[in-house]
Amino acid sequence: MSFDLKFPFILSLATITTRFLPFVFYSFLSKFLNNRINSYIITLLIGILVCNGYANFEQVNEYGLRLTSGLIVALSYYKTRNVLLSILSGSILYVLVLNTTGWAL
Amino acid sequence: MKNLKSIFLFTLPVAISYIFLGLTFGVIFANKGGSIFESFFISLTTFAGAAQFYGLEIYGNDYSLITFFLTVFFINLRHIGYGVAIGKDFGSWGLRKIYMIFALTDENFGMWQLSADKNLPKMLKVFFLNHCYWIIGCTLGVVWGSQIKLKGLDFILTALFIVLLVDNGLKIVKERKVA
Repeated sequence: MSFDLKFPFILSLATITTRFLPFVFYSFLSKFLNNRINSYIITLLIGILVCNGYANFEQVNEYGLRLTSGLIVALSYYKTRNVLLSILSGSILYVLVLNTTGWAL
Repeated sequence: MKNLKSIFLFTLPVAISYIFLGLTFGVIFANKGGSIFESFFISLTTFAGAAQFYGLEIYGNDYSLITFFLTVFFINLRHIGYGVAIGKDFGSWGLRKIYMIFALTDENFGMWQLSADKNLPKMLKVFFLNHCYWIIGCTLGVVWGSQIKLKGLDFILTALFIVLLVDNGLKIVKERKVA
């Protein structure tokens, strides 16, 4: 099988461009985003990523399960501040229920 | 050694997320006809989950280079916010800074935010370890992925972002109380 070098090259180039851009034009970009506003933007961006994680559910049951597991992760982290425990508690519940109840398509 | 152990434990949540998400990428990539070497090479040189998953959609089909570049660029546009937020903290230009910028993924940015001391040599190791987890996941996915039948493993990444969101939210609340 031939190896299409263009594919990884463009993928890498576009990714690297977005990552290096703010470091090359830091003073220009930081004028628009001061630290305080930036912390809100970052939280908003991560919020969008979380919502995106919920966007590809297939069934109502699965959506409910995602929501419940997500809440467990959030509450667990709020109470314990333990990243690993919080992630595992919600994820194990999600994977177990999804694979044992036949909700997965 | 103790330092390395603490770094490993610090990166463990990302390790779990990256390895399982990488496996998912590897399975789909193998089904699209991708090889182990390609998966290894792409994860080594790109190291971007969302962009790589988008790439899967067009892999093996005809595509316009400009459209492909621009789509990946816009998918990764959020990295500009990350760069501006920590632009001054990476120190002077050198190989370490170049690698850390290259490896500034959502999760590495989260690790940076979670880290109390922001020690550059330590964070370089954190970024590098996370990169290794991603490469291992993507490569093993092509080899073993088809044998993994569990559904819903992608939730681990969502769970990681929930933790980061709660953590950022708590920091903002704390900052407002101090102000």
